[in-house]
Amino acid sequence: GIIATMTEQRKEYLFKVLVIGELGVGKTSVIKRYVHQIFSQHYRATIGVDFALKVVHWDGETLIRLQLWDIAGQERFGNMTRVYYREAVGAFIVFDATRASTFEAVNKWKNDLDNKVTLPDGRNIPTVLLGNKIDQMRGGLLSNKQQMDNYCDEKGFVAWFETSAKANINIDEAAKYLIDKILDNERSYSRNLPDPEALELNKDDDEKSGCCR
Amino acid sequence: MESNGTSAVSDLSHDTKQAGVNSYVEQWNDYFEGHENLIEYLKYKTYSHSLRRCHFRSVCWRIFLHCLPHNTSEWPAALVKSRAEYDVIKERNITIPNSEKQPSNIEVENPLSQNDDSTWLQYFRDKELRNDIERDVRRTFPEMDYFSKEDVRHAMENILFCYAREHTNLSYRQGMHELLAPILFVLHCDLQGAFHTQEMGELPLPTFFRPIIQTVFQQKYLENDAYTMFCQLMRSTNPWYSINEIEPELPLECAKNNDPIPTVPFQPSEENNAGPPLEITNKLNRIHNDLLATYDHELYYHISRLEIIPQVYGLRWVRLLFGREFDLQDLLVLWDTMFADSSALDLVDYIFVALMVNIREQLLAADYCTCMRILMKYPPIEDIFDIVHLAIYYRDPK
Repeated sequence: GIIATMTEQRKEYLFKVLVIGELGVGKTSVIKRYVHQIFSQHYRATIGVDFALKVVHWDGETLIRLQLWDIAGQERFGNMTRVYYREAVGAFIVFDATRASTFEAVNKWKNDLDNKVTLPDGRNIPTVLLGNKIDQMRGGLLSNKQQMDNYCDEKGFVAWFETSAKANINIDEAAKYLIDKILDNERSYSRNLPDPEALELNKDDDEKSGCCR
Repeated sequence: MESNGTSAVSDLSHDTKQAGVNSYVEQWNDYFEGHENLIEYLKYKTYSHSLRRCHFRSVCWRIFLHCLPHNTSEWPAALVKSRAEYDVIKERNITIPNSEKQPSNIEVENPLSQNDDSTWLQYFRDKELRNDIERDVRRTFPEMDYFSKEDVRHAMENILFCYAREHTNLSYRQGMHELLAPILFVLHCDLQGAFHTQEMGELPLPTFFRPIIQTVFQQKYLENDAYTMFCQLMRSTNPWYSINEIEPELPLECAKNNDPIPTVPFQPSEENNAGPPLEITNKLNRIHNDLLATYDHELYYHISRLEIIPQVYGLRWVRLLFGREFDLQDLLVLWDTMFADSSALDLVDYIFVALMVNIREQLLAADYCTCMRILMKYPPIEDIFDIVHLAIYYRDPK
């Protein structure tokens, strides 16, 4: 899960972040835009799960290694998501703003997520809702912002963004927002759990997945 | 790989053309005529790496996959039958509600009907299925021109749609499109070969061969033949796409005596780790825990210690029969061997292990993130036959 190491004031984190949503909403495109700053019409369908890494220089003293898990749209059926969600600390749920059916499925993805993964303290992991392909919307934007705000409050999303992987709209902003929430959670642990047992656990974690050293 | 069209053919001298025709016919005779045990001979040709240069790869695949009988003289009848079967399936499943004719029962037959018997309700349900299929078909081998052609896409959509409707407990699952694509492609290549050969000159075949070769290669039945092959392939791959949870197996003794199940002393501590009880999960765990552990214990230990489970990287390997790990030409070689070995695709597990062992040094030297990156994007291989031979060796060590 979350591993923090401190070397002379400099903090390094490893965060596992999920990208989920229906088939063909642009999950892979969002990730490729965010990680490689590119867009293509020609990504193949994701089968099972895919994986990307991005190093974020958050501020002068914080380095974040983001593991982005790109989960195929059909994998919600068959429960394979339980395996893929393990130890995630944040998520994007993506829908295609031009296809209502993909928005209707958002709730199913959110339930699947909340049922299968939680933070160590039992809370749901922070999740940001992305309405993608906004460049293809005639009006350009989702019509009713108040409605979207209410929806997010009700369903427990920390925020929503209109995005376009193609036109590079709001992808970085959405990622920043989510990382900020994850960092908040992370800092609240280190405040609340200074006891030796927690340190012991951390050490154990570190050994298992020592890729941030 | 695309043929250059007809203009190239007319430039060739008569002798060259005839030589082309002759070698084509010779190859046909070599592969299919006069063998006491045709399938054994074709396996031999496959293992001696000959299928790469064969004009009849698709025919070999059809024999391996039991789409064609072993006796060539039975082929025309078999093809007539399987092609007609697809026509019926297509007719049955690809229905567009008839809007011209006044339906007999307007209560049921109208676009707003929720009646289960309504062809309209079925039509709208089908539309969602068709949209999902279309979305994946448009993303099939995007770097290859062949798969961007409208008629090819349309054929793929029809085949996948018919398969989904004929197999309602599985329907369409993502990945099936990339099992279909190589099948269509080899059929297409062989059709092109037959077409150009026949253009170069009269086939000097004994009269009883000619009808066979002409029945086998018919452009208008490309979709039919691909459907037949795809269905046969799915007979083996179907369980790996299934999302139906399977019953845990009871220890044999308990099942017999109706005894309560004893507590297992070392139940896996985290049941999440093992994944949902699906066929694919069982298969992947078996490959990892039994085969990899046997053939390369150090690698098995390393990957297990990093907690990289095979469902993460291996699901795609198995479902696509390694379709994303190699370029298409290498993939076809791999499939040649896999199909020749057994239509049940028993070789898959050993190819899986061979792929792992092939990159063992890189994996052993790597941490979690690097291992994940290597496994999710398999490094380029030098020679596909290295993998093939290793897999065959593991299967049958001699």
